[in-house]
Amino acid sequence: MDNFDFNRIGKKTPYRVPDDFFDRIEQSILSAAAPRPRRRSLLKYAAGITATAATVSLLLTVSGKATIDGNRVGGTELAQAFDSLSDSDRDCLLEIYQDDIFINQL
Amino acid sequence: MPATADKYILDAIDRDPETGFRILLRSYKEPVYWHIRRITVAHHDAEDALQETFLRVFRNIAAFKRDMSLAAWIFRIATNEALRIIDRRKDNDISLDDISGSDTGHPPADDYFDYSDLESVRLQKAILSLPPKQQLAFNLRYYDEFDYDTIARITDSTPAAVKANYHAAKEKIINFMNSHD
Repeated sequence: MDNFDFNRIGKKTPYRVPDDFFDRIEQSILSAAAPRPRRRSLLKYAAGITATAATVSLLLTVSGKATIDGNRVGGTELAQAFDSLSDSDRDCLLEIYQDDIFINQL
Repeated sequence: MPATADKYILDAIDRDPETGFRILLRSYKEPVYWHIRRITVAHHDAEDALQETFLRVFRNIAAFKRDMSLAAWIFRIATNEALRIIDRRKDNDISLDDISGSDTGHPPADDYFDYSDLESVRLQKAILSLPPKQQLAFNLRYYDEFDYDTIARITDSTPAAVKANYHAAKEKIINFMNSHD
């Protein structure tokens, strides 16, 4: 029986990869490693909610545009309404109004 | 990877981490993938381990000390990831027999395998039949051409133990290949 010679095979292996695998994995790793936007601290977030709620209430109360069934709604009612919103609805409201320069000028 | 190339990569990371990491990934993704693949056998496991390896490298590169070889550090992380995947699937072990379904009648577990080169399939079977330390010593020396010191750093061993494992592995592989001729 002949002695096995490593040179006959060299570094060949039977393993294969899908087409473009190394390009795709590079993109996938770079996307996964990309820094995510930092979340604001809870305290800052709570302060933002309060400030925005107060600003929106004030704006609507002063401008007299906040009505339910034709009746004017006061700032207290609006603040209560804001308090009763879900977190996602508050987030949405904050996204819309927090950086609104016209509201923040009031 | 030569030390000068590693220095270039590390300097690039210091200047601009995103660009530096891209250069590191381009230099190491293929050798690290093949190293992992020789351990995990299945492509999808190797892909998972590769992704996790480079995410760990990226998260911890700031703590990397330049007195160590970058290649040794990356291959050590890769080896640990590959072994962790092997350990996780212990109850559902994959061998080349599972993959090359023609021997066992089992369906192939992985499409990314060339069954036609019988001798290279047999060589991988011989390597996979070795104890883990001998497998690692053999693969890192034969395929990746690391010296014994570097392999010892990668496998948390000593150069003497690595050398002994490599020679024992080589002898067992020759016996396996001769007996399966």
